[in-house]
Amino acid sequence: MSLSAKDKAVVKNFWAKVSPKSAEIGGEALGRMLTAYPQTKIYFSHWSDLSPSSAQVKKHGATIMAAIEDAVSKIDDLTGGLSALSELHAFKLRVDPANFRILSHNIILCMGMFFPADFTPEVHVSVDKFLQNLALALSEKYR
Amino acid sequence: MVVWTDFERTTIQDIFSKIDYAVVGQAAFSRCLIVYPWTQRYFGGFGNLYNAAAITSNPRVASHGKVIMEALEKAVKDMDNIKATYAELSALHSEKLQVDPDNFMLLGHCLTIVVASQLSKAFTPEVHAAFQKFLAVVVSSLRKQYY
Repeated sequence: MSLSAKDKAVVKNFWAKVSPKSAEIGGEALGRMLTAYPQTKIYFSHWSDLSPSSAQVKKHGATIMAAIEDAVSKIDDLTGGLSALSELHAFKLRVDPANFRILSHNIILCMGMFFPADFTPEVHVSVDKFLQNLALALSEKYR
Repeated sequence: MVVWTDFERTTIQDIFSKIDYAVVGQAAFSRCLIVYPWTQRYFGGFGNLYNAAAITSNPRVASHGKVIMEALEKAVKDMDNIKATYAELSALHSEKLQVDPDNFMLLGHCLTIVVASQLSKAFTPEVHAAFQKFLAVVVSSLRKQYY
């Protein structure tokens, strides 16, 4: 399910629209993931507040979305572009890659909520493919 | 036995009382067929599913979306007995329709997205968590009769 030229164009176009709300979407998506999928909380046991309104959650959500936005600019070589982040997730954070799908779902949900008119099924499929490919690039260094 | 908090019960009843089954059913089901095209394999007799526009305007997709929502309502009406409520539907999906059970959550994802877009701010993280739990129980019950 690799990205076609059309997928890349759709993703870049949509991300340009989403960019101003990027930090907010990130914080919201992370907060929802921790609330609706409580098993993901284990990776953040060092934080004092894991609720959606937590400053720690919002800040980290923004960080994640900024990294994803950077990946959009590297969409032609996600594996190369995400190499350093892959090493971080593989050797230091050791996040089970199954969780990437859970976070992707929550990001997509927030996009649907924040941009209901723009997030059509056609945009949704390209974004879903992009996030899947991103997750794959992020798991590259695991084994 | 699934244990529901009062908040979860009220939330699920509330969501289903607010949404239009025809609208939400059509939107969720068509989104599923578009975003996860391999799910189209189960709907060979539905006519034109060649592209997103065809799927969105397909009347059989629309009516089947409503059928799905009405089936979900059965679980909403008897939340303490979802496994029993879906025993027959589970056997149907496994033996007759032969649907890969991994597909159930794909439809669940699309339904969550449509409901979230409709309810907007009212779909808070806590409401979302309750809805997610409800869908997980529904999916688990539908998987029960698979060998």
